[in-house]
Amino acid sequence: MDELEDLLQRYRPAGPPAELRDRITSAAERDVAKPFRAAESVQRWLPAAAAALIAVVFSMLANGVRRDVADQLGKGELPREAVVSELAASMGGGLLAREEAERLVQLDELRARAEPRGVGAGESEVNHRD
Amino acid sequence: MIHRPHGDGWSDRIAGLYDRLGGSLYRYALMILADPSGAADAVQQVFVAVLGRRGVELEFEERYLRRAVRNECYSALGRRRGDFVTGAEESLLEAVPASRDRPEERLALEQAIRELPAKQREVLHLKVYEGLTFQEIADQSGESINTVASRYRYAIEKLRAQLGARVSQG
Repeated sequence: MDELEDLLQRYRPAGPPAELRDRITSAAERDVAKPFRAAESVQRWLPAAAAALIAVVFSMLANGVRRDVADQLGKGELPREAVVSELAASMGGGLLAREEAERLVQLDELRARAEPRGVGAGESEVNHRD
Repeated sequence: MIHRPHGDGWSDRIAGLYDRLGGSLYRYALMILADPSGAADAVQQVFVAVLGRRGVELEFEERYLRRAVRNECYSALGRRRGDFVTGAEESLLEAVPASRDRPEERLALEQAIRELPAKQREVLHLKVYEGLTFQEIADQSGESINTVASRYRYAIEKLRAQLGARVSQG
């Protein structure tokens, strides 16, 4: 063995700093915790998200039904009682559905009565300007 | 309330993997980079990559880790080009045993090693400190055996020239 080889053998590359193990193991612990934190967060928000989704679906459904009712009342194709019954049935039937159907039809009648006056006022204003 | 799956033990397995391989991976990175902080970063990067591959059998990871550390080191060297700074104030070598340390001699050897190109340092490390054959080094690095042997020869010649009177031709 020559002197250079002998010199090289008397030393070796220095070992890692002690904190490297801590850095790596804490990264591993964070990695283990991450999916559970995410799942807990989802669990916390799930009921609120579900309630919001249901509200949106019912709102869209009610808007659609209201438009149908308005069309039917406007055209005079169905008597009021038939519209209420059909609407109540589409909401699952029963007393509560019937009351809600009554309320929707009533609202629609009020809106139908209000609209011609609004249009007339607008026309009047236009005529006045002329 | 969500419970962690029982017997996960992932962080313990990573700690065990580090205890088994961390030292040799760090030394390998240190000799390629000649920079203790850079070597620590490279090893951490590679372990973080392992953390992202949960479920992989760690018993088969050694070859992957060595290759990943090597790639990470050469990527780091590529990024540094232009403003290359080594941790010259931090020790590259340690005496074996520690009681036989001669700081002046060690610093001279460290300086000579730092001045070698990274690929020569790598071959020197694998040959001298890990005891691999040229064929094994060639297999590991994907280079030809002639290239590997030449790099080792050039490294030894440069060290001899740098260290001058400290060492004589064998």
